[in-house]
Formats: sequence, C-alpha cells, structure tokens
Amino acid sequence: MKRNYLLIILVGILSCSFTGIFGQTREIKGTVTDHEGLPLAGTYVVIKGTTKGTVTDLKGSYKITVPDNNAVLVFSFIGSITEEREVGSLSVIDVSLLLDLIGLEEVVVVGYGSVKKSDLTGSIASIKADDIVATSVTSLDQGLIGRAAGVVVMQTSGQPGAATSIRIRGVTSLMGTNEPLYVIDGIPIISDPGATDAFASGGPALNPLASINPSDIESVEILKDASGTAIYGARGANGVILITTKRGVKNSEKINFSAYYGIQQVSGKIPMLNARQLAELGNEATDNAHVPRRAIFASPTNLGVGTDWQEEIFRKAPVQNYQLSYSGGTENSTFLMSANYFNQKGIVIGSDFSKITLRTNIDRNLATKLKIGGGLNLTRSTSNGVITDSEGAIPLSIVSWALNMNPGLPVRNPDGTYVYQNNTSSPAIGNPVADAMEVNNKATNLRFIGNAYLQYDILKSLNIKTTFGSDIIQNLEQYFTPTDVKRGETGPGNVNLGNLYGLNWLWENSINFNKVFGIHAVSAVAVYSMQAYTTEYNVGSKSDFDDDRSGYYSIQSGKELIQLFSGYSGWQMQSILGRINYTLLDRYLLTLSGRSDGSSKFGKGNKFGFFPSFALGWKVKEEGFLQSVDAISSLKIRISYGITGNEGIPPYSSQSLLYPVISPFGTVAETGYVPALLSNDKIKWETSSQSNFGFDLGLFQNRIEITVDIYRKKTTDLLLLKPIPYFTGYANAYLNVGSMENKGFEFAVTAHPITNSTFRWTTTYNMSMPRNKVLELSGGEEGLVADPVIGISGWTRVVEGKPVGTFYGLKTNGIMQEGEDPASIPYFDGKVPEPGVRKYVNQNDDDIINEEDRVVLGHASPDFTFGWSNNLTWKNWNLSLFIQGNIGNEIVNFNKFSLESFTGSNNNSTAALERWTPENRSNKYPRADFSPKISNVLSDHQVEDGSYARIKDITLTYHLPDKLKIPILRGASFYISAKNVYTVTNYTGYDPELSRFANNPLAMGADFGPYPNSRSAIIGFSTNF
Amino acid sequence: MANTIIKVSAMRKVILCLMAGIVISLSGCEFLDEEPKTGVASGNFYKTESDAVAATNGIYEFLSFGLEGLFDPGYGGVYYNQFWIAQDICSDNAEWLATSLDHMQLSDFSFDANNLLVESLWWDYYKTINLCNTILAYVPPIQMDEPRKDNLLAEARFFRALMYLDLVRMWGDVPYFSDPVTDGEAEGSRARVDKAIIYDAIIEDLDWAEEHFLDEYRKGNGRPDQYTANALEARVYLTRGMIGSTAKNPEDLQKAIDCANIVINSGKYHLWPDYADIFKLKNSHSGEIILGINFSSTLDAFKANQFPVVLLPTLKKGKDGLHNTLGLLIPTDNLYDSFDDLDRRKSVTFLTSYTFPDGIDTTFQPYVSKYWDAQAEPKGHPSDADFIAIRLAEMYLIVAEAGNEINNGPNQAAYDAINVIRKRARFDGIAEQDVLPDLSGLDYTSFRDAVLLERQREFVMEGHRWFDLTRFHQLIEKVEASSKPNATPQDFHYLMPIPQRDRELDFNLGQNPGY
Repeated sequence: MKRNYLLIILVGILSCSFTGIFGQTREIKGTVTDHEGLPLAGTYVVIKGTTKGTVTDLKGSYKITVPDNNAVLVFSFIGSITEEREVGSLSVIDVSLLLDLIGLEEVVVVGYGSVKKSDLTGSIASIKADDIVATSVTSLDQGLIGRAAGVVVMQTSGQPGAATSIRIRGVTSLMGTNEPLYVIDGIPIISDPGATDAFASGGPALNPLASINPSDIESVEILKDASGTAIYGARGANGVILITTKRGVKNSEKINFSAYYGIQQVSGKIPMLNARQLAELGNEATDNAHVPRRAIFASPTNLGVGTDWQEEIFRKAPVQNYQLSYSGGTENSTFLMSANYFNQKGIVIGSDFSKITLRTNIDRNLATKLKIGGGLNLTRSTSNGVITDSEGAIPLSIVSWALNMNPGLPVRNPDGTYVYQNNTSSPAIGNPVADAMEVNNKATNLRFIGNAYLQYDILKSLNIKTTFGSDIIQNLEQYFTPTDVKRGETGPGNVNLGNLYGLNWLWENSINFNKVFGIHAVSAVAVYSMQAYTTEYNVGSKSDFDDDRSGYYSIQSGKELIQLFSGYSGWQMQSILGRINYTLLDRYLLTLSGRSDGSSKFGKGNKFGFFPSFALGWKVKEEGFLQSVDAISSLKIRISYGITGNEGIPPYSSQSLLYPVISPFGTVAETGYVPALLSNDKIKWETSSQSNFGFDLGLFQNRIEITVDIYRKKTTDLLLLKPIPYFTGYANAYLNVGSMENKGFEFAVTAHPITNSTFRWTTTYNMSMPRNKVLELSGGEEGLVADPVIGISGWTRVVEGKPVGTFYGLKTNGIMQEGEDPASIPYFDGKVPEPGVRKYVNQNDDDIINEEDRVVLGHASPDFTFGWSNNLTWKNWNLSLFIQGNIGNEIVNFNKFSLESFTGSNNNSTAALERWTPENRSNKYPRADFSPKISNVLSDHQVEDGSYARIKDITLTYHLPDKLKIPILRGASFYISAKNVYTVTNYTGYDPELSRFANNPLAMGADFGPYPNSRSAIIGFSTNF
Repeated sequence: MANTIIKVSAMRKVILCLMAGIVISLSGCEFLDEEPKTGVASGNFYKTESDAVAATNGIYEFLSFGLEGLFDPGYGGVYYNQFWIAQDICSDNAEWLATSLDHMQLSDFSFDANNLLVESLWWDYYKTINLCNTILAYVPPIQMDEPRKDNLLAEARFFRALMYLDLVRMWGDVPYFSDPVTDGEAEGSRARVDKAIIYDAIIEDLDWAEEHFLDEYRKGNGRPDQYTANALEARVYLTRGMIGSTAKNPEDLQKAIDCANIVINSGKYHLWPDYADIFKLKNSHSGEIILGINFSSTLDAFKANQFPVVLLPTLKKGKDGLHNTLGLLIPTDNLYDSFDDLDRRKSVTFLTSYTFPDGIDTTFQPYVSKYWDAQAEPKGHPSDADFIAIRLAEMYLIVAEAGNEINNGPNQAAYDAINVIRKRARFDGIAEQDVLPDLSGLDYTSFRDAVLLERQREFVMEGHRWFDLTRFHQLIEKVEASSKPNATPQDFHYLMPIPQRDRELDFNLGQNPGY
C-alpha cells in the first residue's frame, strides 16, 4: 500500500513539473456550487487522466492550469454526482454539483455511533431532512407518516399541536408504553404525554415532539430490529427514533431564511339533514312511537334549510412558519443558530397553536485532540384548544355537538346572545359555537433540551467522550368555563389550573475504538450512563363563579373547591453498555451489543436487566461468483437476533404504597394514610426477543435498491395490571404475565429510472405487512376489556389468539319488512320486533339476541400499510408527490349512533333520508322511532372498513437558476404545496387516519367526535445568503 | 520514545476514567433507590406514634369518601351512598327512579352476581378490613404509650367487626382475613369461612375493643368508644340470636338486651325530645348518636355526603333553589302511607312541597328529606350531614324485639322500650299529638309486627330495612304487600350474590343458592 502512495505522489510531482515545462498552459477559474447554489468548499477539481488537480476554497472558487483545450476537468465532491467539463476555449467554468442520491457510502446514525450504510447489519430506516421538511410539515411526527416501512403514525386528533402515537413494528405492550424511545443528538428525551402534561385543561394531549423544529433536523434514523435497539436495553422494545440536528459545515458560512404560509380547511364534512328534513324525521319518529308530535317540528316546510352547524364551527384557517438560520464554520469550529416562529390556527374556531424555537449547535477543536461542543434547543409553545376529546356517556366534544344540534336553531338569538342549548333532547347539549368561543382552554409549554460534550482523542483510533444532557419541561395549563355556556352550567363556571415541572438529566461517558488491522476492521464503543427524571405538579380546580370576567386569572373567586392536589414522581436509570462491530475482508460483518440496565422502577429482586444482541451481515456481491454479474451492483444479507425490554411502567409499581388522605372528624380534618398499591418485589421490564432476516439488493448500478426484512418479535413478561379478587382489599396488582407476538414483512424500494442532468425521477415505495397476536393473558376468558364508550362495553377486547384491538359486536341481518313473522325473528329478550327495525344474526341455539351473539367484526391494525413518494426534477423545477395508505383495518364509528339515531332527538346524517318507511323498504337503515326499543347496540353497521389511500402531499418547487447572479443571494427556491389532497376510502366519518384512543392499545380504532384533520394549500420559499 | 510516553499517559487517563466509572457504579446502589413522595412506601411507615394515629385515621376516609377517583369504579367509601341506598331500595321502602340498571335491578329484585352496587359494597368492606388488618399487624411493634396504642388497635378491631358483621349479614359465609394482604401474586384462593366462626371473631374483636378503649383519648367526632362497641355487640347478638324464621338463640338475645341496656344506662346518650333534632347539623355526634360517619363539604366539596343528590328532588330555578339534587330515589306509597299523619317522623322524613326564594310554591310526590337541615344548608348539596350508623333508638328497639322473642311475647321491659320511641314520635316540637298511643296487651306476633313497623318508620334510609326484613324473615311478604311495581323477591334474596368478578378470579368462592 505504502508503495502505491509513494508512486502517486511521485507521479504527481513529476506531472506537475512536466506540465510546467512542456504545456501550452493557461489558467481556468470558476466557482463550484451545490444544488442549492451554495459554494462548495473542498471540491476536488482534477484534470482527467492525470493526478493534477486542486481544491476549491471557502467561496467555492478554484484556479487550475490546464495543458491545452482538450483537457477535461473532473469535479467531485463527496455526496454529489461527479461532473466533467471539456475546457475548450473557456476560461471560466462554473459548475453546480447535484446531490448523489444513489451513493452507497451514506453514513447512518446508530445508537452511540454511526456506520456506513453499506456496513449496516440491522434493520434501520433512515430518513433525510429533505424528505421530511422540504415541504413544510408542522412537526416531525407528521413528517414520518408513510415514510418508512413498519412505522405507523397514529393521530388521535387533528387539533394543532396534538400528540400522535408512533408504532414501530406493532403493539408490544398492553399496560406499558408503546411509544418508541426518542433520542435527540444522543439525549433520550421524555416523549410520554403523561409525563409532560399536567392534564388540567381539556382536549387532546399535546405533542411532546412539537418542541423540535423540523427545519433543524438533519436526519431521522428509525431503529427497528434488536441489532439496533438492544443497545437501548430496557427502553428499546418499541424501537428507537434517533434524531440528529443540523450542524455547521467547516470553512463555510450560510444564512438561510425560509417561510411559508398556507390555508387549511376541514378535509370533508359529514352530510347532515337540514332543518326541514330533521323536522320531517322527528314527526315520523313520534308517529311511529305513537306519541304526540313535538311542537318544535310543527311545520317542517316553514323551517327551510336552517343552520349548517359544521359550517359554523369549521373555518378556513391560516398556518404560517418563518425560519432563519445562520450556520458555518472555520477549520476548527462549526456553529449553527436557528430561530423559528410557527403559528397555526385550527380549522375549528377558537383553536390555535403557536411556538417559537431557538437552537444553537456548536463544535470546536480546543486542541488537536480535544473537541468540545453541544447544542441548546429552547421552545415555547402556546395552545388554545377546544373541547373535542372529553369522555362521557353524553359526547362532550363540540364536533359531536355540531353534528347533534338542531339545524332549525340559529347560532345567535335576535338580541345577539348565543342560543344556549339544543332543543331536541334532554339532557341537552350546548351551543358548540358558544362553547368554542367562550371556553378558554390554554396550555403553555416551555422546553429546554440541551447537551454538551467533551471528546479527547487518545489515539487516532481511540477516543473518550463525556456528555451531559438535559431536558427541562415546564407546563402551565389554564382552563375556564364561563357560567353562561352550557358546559359551565353545573359549576356554575369552572376553573382548572395545572402546572408541571419536569427535569430529565443524563450523563454518559464513552470510549470509542476504531481500527483496521489488515483484513480485519474493528470498531467498538463502551458507555457508562446515568439518567434521572423527576416531575412535580400542582393541580387545582374550583367552581361556583359569579363573574366571568376574570376567567382563569381569578381562581380565588370560585366558591366551591373541586380539587387541589400536588405530586411528585421520579425514576432513575443506570446502565453499562457496549458494542463491537467486526468486519472481515470488508465482506463479513458482525455486530455484538449488550446493555445492562438498572431502573428504579423495577422490584428489588429484579433491579438489573441484561439485553444482548448479535447481527451478521454478508456482502455477497464482494464474493467472486457475483462479481461478474453486472446486473447486481450490490447485495447484502443480514440476520439479527436480540433481546430488548420495555420499562415503561409507572414509577413505584413495585412498592407497597400508602397514600395520604384527609379524614374528616366533624369539620376538623386529620391526616390519614391508607394502603393504595400492593407491592411486588419481582416486578420487571417486559422482554421482547426479536429476530430479523433481511437483504439489501442494488441493481443496475444501484438504480434500483431493494430492502426486504422479515421479523418476529415476541414479548414475554407482559406487564399487566392483573385484576385480583376484591376480597384482598385491592382491585388489581401489577404482574409480569402474558405474552404477545408481532411478525411481519417489510419491503422498500428506491428507484432512479431517469438520472440525466436535466431530468431526474426518483421514486420510493415502502410497505409492510404486520401481524399481531396475543399469545397468553391472565384472567378470564373475556380477556382485557376496553373502557365503555357511550355505554357500550366489550366493543374491543384483548383475547388470547387474537390481535390487540379486535372488535366484537353483532352481525346485522337487514331490516325487518312488513309481513315478516315477528316470532321467526330472533330478537332481544322481552322485546318484540316490528317492521322497520334492524335484525341481527343469532349465533347460538337460543332464540334471543344478546351478548353471546357477538362475533369478531374486525381489527384496528391494518393488514398492509404503504407509502409511495415520487420526485421529478426537470431543470430547475421539482415536483414531489407522496401517496400513503392503510389497507385492511376496521374503525368503530361511534359517531354513527347519534348520526343515525332516527329519533328526531338530535340531528342525523343524510343516511336518514334512506330510512325504512312502508314505501321505501330499505334493507339497510331502520325506521324512524322516537323511542327505539333498543339503542347503542354495536354491530357490523358501525364497524366500518378503515382502508384508505391518500395523496398526502404534492409539492412543486422552483429553484432560482444560478445564472441569475443576484448579489448576496446564493440560492433561492419557491414552492407551492397541497396536503391531504385526495383520499380514496369507503369510510364515512371525517377521516380514517384519526383514531380517538390510539395511544391506548386496549382501545385502538375508535372514531368518536374527534377534531377532524385538515387539507391545506401552502406557498413558501427558501433563500440562502 | 515519545510515542510510548503518549501511550502511557493515555493509558493512565483510561484507567482514571474506568476508576471514576467504578466509583459511580458503587454509589449507584443508592442511585437506583426509589423514593415516592406523593405517597409513602409502607417500609418507611409505621415507625412512630403519629404514624400509628395516621394509619388509624385512614379508616375514617374509607368509611366516608374512599380513595378512588371520581371516575373509578370503586368511587366512594362504605357509607358514601351504596350502603344506605341498597338497604332501602332492595326492600319495600323505596324505588329507584333514574336509569342506572344496577340500582333498578336491586329495586325490583332482578339483580344478579354482576350487580355493581353489590360488588362495590363487597369491595369497600374488604378494603376497610385490609386497612384494619394492616393497622393490627404493623402498629403493635411501634414504641409508644401502650394504652394509647391499645386504643388505636381497639378502633381497628371495632371497625373490622362492623365490616364483617355486614359481610355475614349480606353474604353469609365469606372469605375471612385477619392479616393484611401484602403480595398480589401470592394472594390466591381463599375459601369462604363458616359465618359462625366469623361471628365468634366479631365478638372477640368487640370484647377486646370494649376493654381497651381509653375514655380520655380520641373522643367524639365519629370515633368509637366502649359504649359504641357495646351498641354494635347488641346488634351482633340480636342478629345471631335470630336464626332464620323460627329458630332463635335465647342466650344471644339476652346478651343483646344486656349490651343494649349498658348503652341505654350509660348516661352518655339521650334521645332528643324532638325526632327532627336527630338530623340537625348542630347535633351531630351528640345526643343519641352512638356512631356517626363523618362527611364534611366544609372541608372539601368532594367530602360531602350524597343525601341531597340522591334523595331530594330537582328544584332549580336559575341560580335559586336546590343545588345538584337529582331525586334518584323515591319512597314507596306503602312506606309513606305507613305513617300516621301526626307522626312527627312523617313530616321530618318526607318532603312534598318547596317554596322558592321568590315565594312560588311547588308540590310534588314525597321525597326523603330527613337528612336535609334546610335552615343550615338551604341549597342542599354540598352537605355536611353525617351518616348515622348507630343511634340510641335502635338500642331501645333491640330491647323490645329481643324481649318479645325470648319470652314468646312482650315483657314489660319490651313495652317500655318501644313506648319510649312512640312517645318521642308523638312530640311535634311543641306538644305531644294524639297519635301512636303506648302499646299494651299485644301477643307475640302482633308485638313482633309492631317492632318491625316501628323500626321501618324510625330508620328510613338509615341502612336497616333489608337487614330487618331478612332478620324477621319477611322480605318476600312485605315487598309483595307493598305493591312495589315489578318487584319479585325470591327465597334466595335473603342473601346477596357473591360478586361474579371475584368468582371468576377465584373459582373456589362458590355462589349463594339461586344466583
């Protein structure tokens, strides 16, 4: 090897001298820029066929002496497509290098290190910044939707700033968390809304990931298999999402300003009856029930169309975002500063979300071997929510209210005051417009995520590093219901105040080793880590207010104390971990990792868990027998196995706890302590063992890259809050019982069908087919039953042998027609069916319809998910199109019970127009009936196919040509974008993508009065200086 | 050479780092210790006298409000509402108006083992028993004044007895625990214990408590003392003495009389001359109240009792009228009509009209209003009124009932006892009315009927009726005679069903016949 270098140098020197002597030399100069028009410092400019060359300076400029006009210059820069230019008679040659999207030598971030993509042994989805943020997503998790095989993003609400749930390779836990671990620049952050929210305000939980500005993200790596996740030990079972933020580039300087503005609107409304139609329905309902008609429906024809309550609560809402960043560096230091302001009005009146994010990243070489650096991220967000997610037998969501309201009522009375409540039912619901405008529901979050490190290179191949990070959360929630709206009636008036302070700190010390010994390459890392989290919170609420003017700024004026409590919760972790990557002949790859995790949450008998993994990779292409096969440009086979844990259980689960109570003795109180939790010394993490087999195949010079993975993940020691007999004095105890299995197939392909310098087309498709099955549970045959929704219990149960989120209900059997013998129709005990009622299938030998006739009606998890993105570049234009969808899941549309009540006691969807009458003998919709014999029976009529395919995003971008040479400006692009453009689905609710209780594995797949999703149109630009 | 030096110093650094790591690891044993602050780990509790007192105080929270949150299934303590609602709706006294299926089933005797009211009472009793057992296990080793400690243990034993008495009265044989439950995994199957054994344990607890209550320590405001123990023992002996419809145990019945007389003659309690005074807020824990369960909305809106919510009708006009009253339960006509119009208890027990602050009158069907001190709490809810678990009138009626049973006919003591109660009911606050004359000259059966009727009128919604009807073995007869709509009591309703939930978790529990 050494000899070769010598030779090159020798030839270089010789050629230099020779050209100096013999050539008809002349000088060429120019500038090299990247695809955004920014100068590319450090680009190699070499005369083809020689070793003579130069390197561009800070401004991207170069000067080179060429021997003659026949010379060809080769411009190359890592990560870009190499360009060649014939010199001809030119004396100035400016070149713009395009990003090399096909390059295999991409580096992928893994836990506690990074690896060349070609050396990966695990299953990792890597998403680059451009894919997520180029088109103005509102938050990181939104940007992940459909982007990686096996990663499902579930939204519980369309409210701006609302939390999402991400599932990597399915649900692994029933009682513990299912959210992946989020690691930002090496710092595991707190992502559980339960630990970051005081829950004093109403509405959906806020998104902990909102504190990260998508524009600051360099890359997102999703670790899916145990080879990647086992290094996160007891927190790795749900997968790990590594987020790397942007840093400055050496010897450069760049200012970027970008902005976008968009308009959002509800993606679709539910067609509802108008005032006349509801009155006609109401009259028919009372007639059928043989009760007098209601005065409010006296003369339907006079009522006209009335109020469209959906129109009243939905609006076209603007969203805007401004981003300024300044980054750069010298030879010894790099820096990045960014500021972001984001403001999103909600599509439901009275709701909005805004935030300011500031970030600074700095790295500096203090001495040749000593490096220091860090990053700070500060976010302040404010959310004004509307109540769309409260539970209850009567829907408390104003979206449900808007659907239920009588269109015959106006929003306001003639005197300008709000109409107080609906007039068709008792108890009545309130005016949703008044509720949205008058109820104040604010959450303010301040979050600081920061880290600092010091790294010392002991040897070229060995360094040590110490890192300190912290994640500080401050949350203030203020909620006020005034006395003059329906929601505030019982108080009257209500104020809830809550605040939460959370501190998460992490200290890690690591040793890194990296060396090539001939045919052996070894890299290893060992880390000692300590982390702790504490939260403190105070919550108070009062009711009985006389005056609405002060709102939540005057809780003291409330006369009735509802609740006042404070609390503390904390956990600590202490871990030792390590990994060795060994490569033989650059062909055979081995990764071994292990982590020993100690957690304060575990019982005394199980304080430490060990989580090992191994993975093997074989670069088959490097073998002789494939070298000659030109079609195959790369092939790697991967296999991995490992064990991870899930310690996402509430702190103190192992301890026998006494709670303080205030025992009354007359009007004097004394403190008492009562047993609250049973102890369990053996409580421990849930264990997931995962095996993965996959391969990466590149065809035709890697124009087509295919990745396939098959996995099986078995979770044992499932933590269950197992019911124990009440006669023990307790309702339940945390026990490690039960097991569950997730297996699946993942496929991703990236193709570059056209790659010439004026027109390029890149297309990426990913899909996964996950399968979940509960293997073992404790307790009765009923399994684990979800909480009832509008009084319907057992709508979904976790049962052995079935996937989590299996729906149970009756099968319908059409509508009873006139002339049918009631005795021949199995019906509910003690009730006689009449023509026009819905019939159900009797599944057993008895003659009655009851709970025993319930059958499986579907499941919440899709059989198949896919995402397909296309990127077309023509000259300076770029068009991206992203389509995404789920196939094979069902949704329980609880809204249908009120939308199709056919009682006249609330407004109905236009399905009511197809109701059964003696004339219109519908076999799908029953007759109108003011007092139906049965109500709220879950059947296949409410369980709908939730499959959809949706054009998620279309963006057209125009890059300002470099030729324009506008002073100062070094590049600019403009774009227009449309989101949630079009959806193909049979689902009749607002949006199949929303799942009301998505974060609770026991109650997935329900649609119940949520805040709908929006569709939006956005224009924006990005400029560099 | 230079190279080597670098390597050595580098090695030293590595070693130092490793050593630092080891030091941290060693200290880490403590680092992983978990210290709850919102609650206290039981290992750090039961150390001092104040811990012993606080542990015992906890019992009173379980009796009244309970630990569970508003939306948890076990919301409310033993006497929060289910107890007194269940005893009267599952009888000829009251009907449930609202749409709760569990209440309605209890009201018309169609309930089964899944009934949530029955289940939640079962749980409340056992939760309180487990707390008492915890105190009885962990307080004795605490270093403190011994007689004071014994007084605290006596409280725990008293309430354990109170809970077990209701368990055996309602379910017959039940699982019996005298030690705290400590490990969820280990608590498996528990067979039901013969109620005779549990009665013995109850009496043993009460005897011990009686001896160890300290006169001068923890008095008043709902804490029991030796007379409270005597009073409860009277109830225990009376219940055990009346075995089934005909068989009885004269020895137990005599003990019931003796215990009741100790309380009556203690001089500690006296009957209020006016029946209405029993329920005045200013009279709580005094006069004839032997054991009152504390509720206090003054302390916390959520520590209010549920009487106005459940019992008073909805009377609201804007901001005027009653607050949060739902009128979920109404007395049967049979109960209302069983009172003579001049019986003081009729006007105190029922409400049939209301005058709004603006002077408008409204009249309605009768609702139970005895717990409502309208002067002190004009808005109704939230209310400070206590639940009265034991009061002196019961002692008189025990003397009357047991005296009649022992002698197969009333003796003079029995007449005297029941006539004390009738005399008080004649007093309307100003003078005695011409109603409820003193009883005399009755045979066994008529006197027995008279006692049952007197108890019915005296103790409406005080948690007695189902117990009385089962003890007198007249549940079916009386409910059928009351023409309460749809109510069809059966023989098996003399016991409550063992909750299905617990049966599924412990197959050895078995079920009472009929369910």
